[in-house]
Amino acid sequence: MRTIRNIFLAPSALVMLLLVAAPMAIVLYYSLLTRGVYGGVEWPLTLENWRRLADPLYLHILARTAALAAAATALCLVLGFPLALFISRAGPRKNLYLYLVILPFWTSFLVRTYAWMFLLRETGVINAALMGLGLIREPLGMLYTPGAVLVGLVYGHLPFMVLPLYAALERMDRSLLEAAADLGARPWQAALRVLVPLAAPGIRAGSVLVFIPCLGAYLTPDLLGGSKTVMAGNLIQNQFTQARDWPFGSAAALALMAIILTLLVAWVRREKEPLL
Amino acid sequence: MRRMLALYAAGVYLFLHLPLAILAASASTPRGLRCGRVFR
Repeated sequence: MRTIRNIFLAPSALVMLLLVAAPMAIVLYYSLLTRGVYGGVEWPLTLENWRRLADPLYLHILARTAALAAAATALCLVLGFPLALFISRAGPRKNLYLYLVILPFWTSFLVRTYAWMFLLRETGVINAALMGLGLIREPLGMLYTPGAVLVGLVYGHLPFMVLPLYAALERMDRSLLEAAADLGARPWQAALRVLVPLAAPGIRAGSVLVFIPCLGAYLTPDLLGGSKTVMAGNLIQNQFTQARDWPFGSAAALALMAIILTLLVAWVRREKEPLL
Repeated sequence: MRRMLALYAAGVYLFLHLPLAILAASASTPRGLRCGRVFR
């Protein structure tokens, strides 16, 4: 029995070894090498790249990344929870509303981000509308700010929050809310004490699905944040392209991965149940 | 309560679809159409 199990597991284990473990080992090896004069990598092995991560400049970028990812997750939850609740109670139109959530995903992520550039730039639609209405005299500088990055992150990841929330709310027994009301709970009390705890698995899954990609986001901060709002993903990309410092880029990439894994493991241990 | 939820959902749908709708509308302007000819 065990032999059969091992035979069936072997292909996936091989894929994991070749496509996950081996590249990770290469990245780890590179992170211990020294940057060459012309941008290559060379001996000797050193821990200097890992030490450089403790530089206040990089710690500031990591802190900003974590703050923006947390804010994007919280905003996705605030926007997504009522939407998921609405869809779960929509009756026969449920599928149409779900379809409308997924519809923007039919276009490229790049096009969706460019759409926001089109809206937020100084000659963009929002500034033109505000100036047309006489609310402002000079265009607001909305593009290339942390706010623009936050909007882009929320816009790009909102469906990842809505879909798990919908799955959790759809399964919920609605008579429990009626029971709470019968027992004297006000609507907000029933929402806080019945609805939110029952939707907790969806909230957890949605938060993880939004927070992790936001931590590694590269395109959104690059296009909407410019050089002012650098996130960890941009830092890593810059090391591999402009700075040609592959060892430091590898160390930064592994550090980001280690932070995400630590957060996930801590979360799973605290919750004592499967994450997704 | 249900009406408020529907209104809120409509706002979120607007947030999801308006940027692409505006982008699509701008592609239909004379200038957008001129740019579109480049791809033919």
